[in-house]
Amino acid sequence: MPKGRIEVRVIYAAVILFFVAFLGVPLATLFVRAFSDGETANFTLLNFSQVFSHPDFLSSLTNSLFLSALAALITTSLAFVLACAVNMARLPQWLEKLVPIAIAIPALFPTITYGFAIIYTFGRQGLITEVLGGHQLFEIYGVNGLLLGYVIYTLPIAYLLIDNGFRYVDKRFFIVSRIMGDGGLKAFFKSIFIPLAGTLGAAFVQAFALSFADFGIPAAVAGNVQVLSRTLFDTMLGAVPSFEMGAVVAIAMLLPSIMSVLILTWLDRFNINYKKFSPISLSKSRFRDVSLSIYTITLLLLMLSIFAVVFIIPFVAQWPWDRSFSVEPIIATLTNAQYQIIATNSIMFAAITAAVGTVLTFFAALIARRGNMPKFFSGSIDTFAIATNSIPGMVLGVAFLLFFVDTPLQNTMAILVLCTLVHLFSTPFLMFSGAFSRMNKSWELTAELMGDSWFKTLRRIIVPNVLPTVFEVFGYLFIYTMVTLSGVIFLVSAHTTLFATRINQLAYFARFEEIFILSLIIFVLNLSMRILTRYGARKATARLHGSKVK
Amino acid sequence: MDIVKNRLHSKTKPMALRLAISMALIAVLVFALGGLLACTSGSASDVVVIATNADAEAVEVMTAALTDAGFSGQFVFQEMGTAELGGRLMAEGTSIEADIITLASFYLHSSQNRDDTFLPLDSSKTTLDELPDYMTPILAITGSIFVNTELMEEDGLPMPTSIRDLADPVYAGNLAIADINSSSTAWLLIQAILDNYSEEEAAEIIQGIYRNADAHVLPSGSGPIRSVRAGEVAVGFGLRHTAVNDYESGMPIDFIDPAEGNYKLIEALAVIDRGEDTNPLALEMAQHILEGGRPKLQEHYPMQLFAGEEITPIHEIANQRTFPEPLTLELLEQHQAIVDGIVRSAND
Repeated sequence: MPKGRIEVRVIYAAVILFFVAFLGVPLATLFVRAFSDGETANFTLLNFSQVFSHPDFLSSLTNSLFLSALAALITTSLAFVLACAVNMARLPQWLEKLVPIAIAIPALFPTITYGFAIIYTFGRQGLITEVLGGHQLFEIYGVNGLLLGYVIYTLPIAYLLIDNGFRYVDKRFFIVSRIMGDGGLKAFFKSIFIPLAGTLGAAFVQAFALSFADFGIPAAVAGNVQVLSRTLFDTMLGAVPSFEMGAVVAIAMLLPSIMSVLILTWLDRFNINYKKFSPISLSKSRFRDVSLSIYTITLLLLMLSIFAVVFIIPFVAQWPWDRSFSVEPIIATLTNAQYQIIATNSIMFAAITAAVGTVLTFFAALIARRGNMPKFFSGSIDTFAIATNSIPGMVLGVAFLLFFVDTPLQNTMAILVLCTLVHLFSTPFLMFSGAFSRMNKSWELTAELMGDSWFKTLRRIIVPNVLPTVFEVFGYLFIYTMVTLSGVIFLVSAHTTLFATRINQLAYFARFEEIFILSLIIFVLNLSMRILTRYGARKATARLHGSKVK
Repeated sequence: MDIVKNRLHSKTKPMALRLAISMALIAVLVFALGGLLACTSGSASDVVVIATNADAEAVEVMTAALTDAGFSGQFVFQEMGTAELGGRLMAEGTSIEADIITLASFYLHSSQNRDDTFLPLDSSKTTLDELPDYMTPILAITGSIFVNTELMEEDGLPMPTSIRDLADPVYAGNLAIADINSSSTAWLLIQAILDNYSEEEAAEIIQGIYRNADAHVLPSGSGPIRSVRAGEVAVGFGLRHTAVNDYESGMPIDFIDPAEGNYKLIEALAVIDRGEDTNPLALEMAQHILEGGRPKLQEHYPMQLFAGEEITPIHEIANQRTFPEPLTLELLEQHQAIVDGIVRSAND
């Protein structure tokens, strides 16, 4: 227990307790189950030998590894060129403003929607297929569909990482390199690509890990290609459910994810951060600007065109036969008693997770950054945060299911909230950490000398200063809770059905119309939340700067 | 001066108080979660959970029957695939979340034999097939071939007349079937093949069909008709009545009763026996689903289950067949293994 303020010590204990109870113990249960005999609970390696000797399992594992790596490679390349376009070319003003808005749209949908959107866009009677005169561009089920889904899913994250990396690259080196007589390509390679190598690696690993752990996309378009997340689902909830085997598959899924995080930490060293960077005036090149503008427009159009069906099919009487406009399907859904329960569940789930998660990550980051604790203690929270980032939602779900079976938590909303809090912990924690680190180190001390209690300081100084981040975090948690499927798929009950898990059920029955209606509702809810929290953050920032000026 | 006073004041503020404040903060967090837990589990215990593998149409009918009987808000449906629900039932027995289960009858059989899962039901109605007293049939399904006539013409495909025809390579990439590992509808197809042909012939036909269906081996029995409707493929094998309904409503869908005959499965309802913890409403609701729902269910799934029921001629089946062995979970697993073996050897 760290020495120092009692408040810090109590919060530290609470945070660590949270992680031990809802991360450590469930994961330990997972490992125990994987190594134990189902009936006698004795130690055995039989589960492992049984799972690994199954031919379908190995092909599923290699498919997952290969497809995720290939998708990550495509994503990173596409995102890199897009970031170059934004940072190194003179794009039209409107386009430059559009990129960050457009790129954020896919994250407002659950990934399972991507798969069905692909089917209705590129399938035999899909939207784009019809626009092209009934000519199907490619077979969507299996490898192609999976890759397309993975790329759309990970492109925004890869782009944001690389774009952020560009901010720390001093583009004047590019000019110097050119002046020193290097060719355009060579200069680009030396002064842009090399400094960004670490970031590109990070984008690749991040894209890989996300694709590898995703359940929604394969649930829709995998066809007869087995991937690990499907294998895990079938093992846990298929015709012959086996929790022991499921635990083994979950561990197999966990290992590459842990590897990814280790690689990410290692890659961090390659990030070259220039201390000084200034905006430069780019050399004139019409060819560069026009071609990169076309690239950007094409990429965004392709990405967003897939979601067009989500906005069209809910308003059509019966696709593809009767295409007259009709609001009947939507009204039928909105007035359906079952969907009203699901909507209440989903909104409550997202709102509670966002509220509790904001408080939790706020305090965790607060004591880690400003608690004046010895490095070991603040470091332990960081380690837990990284750990949560490395664990696929499905693995956490299996661990929760195994640990909380037959406890009062089973089948409740609380277990969904807890699992999701752990699953989504890392990003909000990092957002708060960043905000706290940027604040003046001596505020608490000054306030204390002036006679304010710790909580008074918190209320009067700390909270107002991170209020913009509070809004951002709340919005992030709400949206990601709304779209999560992998984390809750094993934990929902008849009373806690959510939009995303309902889509998964509907997928089984191939009820696409309802899938798109629910996706549209999720989108509208998430978009409203995004706009609200952005507005809140902007207001809070303005207030902050306003008072500073005074 | 005030500053000094305040400073002194805060210094002397007892540690216990500060501890109490921070504990209170954490308590709020814990209570938020605890309260949530209490309210979700509290309301949950009164509500009857009905787990079902039935299609949307059947769930709608059952919902309407219960709502009409005044149970609105006292029940909730949990829709799952046949294999998923069956797997859960076999794994969890009476500790399953649901109070009422509607599922393929052979799953209910196996569960009752092993775990004594269900309560006896009284029913005054006489069933045509003999069934044990802990289940009551709600609907029967049968399989057929169906086609998208527009696509058939477009792709110049011959009209299939038997299941054997579906193995013909002309249908490559143009056929949708259900997966026997997750859907009981798929079993109707496999039963027909295994019953009519020798082992080698059956292997050849199954291989051909799986090769043709390729990515369109779908998880649910209602998948194939949706693929054919949506124009993803021209030919499918699945639930007969769905194709008949589409045909009658003027869609470009036609159905073909295969030369091998139409096999059938009975979907039945049962109530979980939780001893004293059994929700008394569950038995009542089971009664209402049957009495209030059966006429409408028979309209959607037009097959006779009870004495005195009638069906329209288009739904009458000339060549209704029954698999020679009794349908049990063990037999299904045997057939699943046969199909998996054939498909895998074809892939190697």
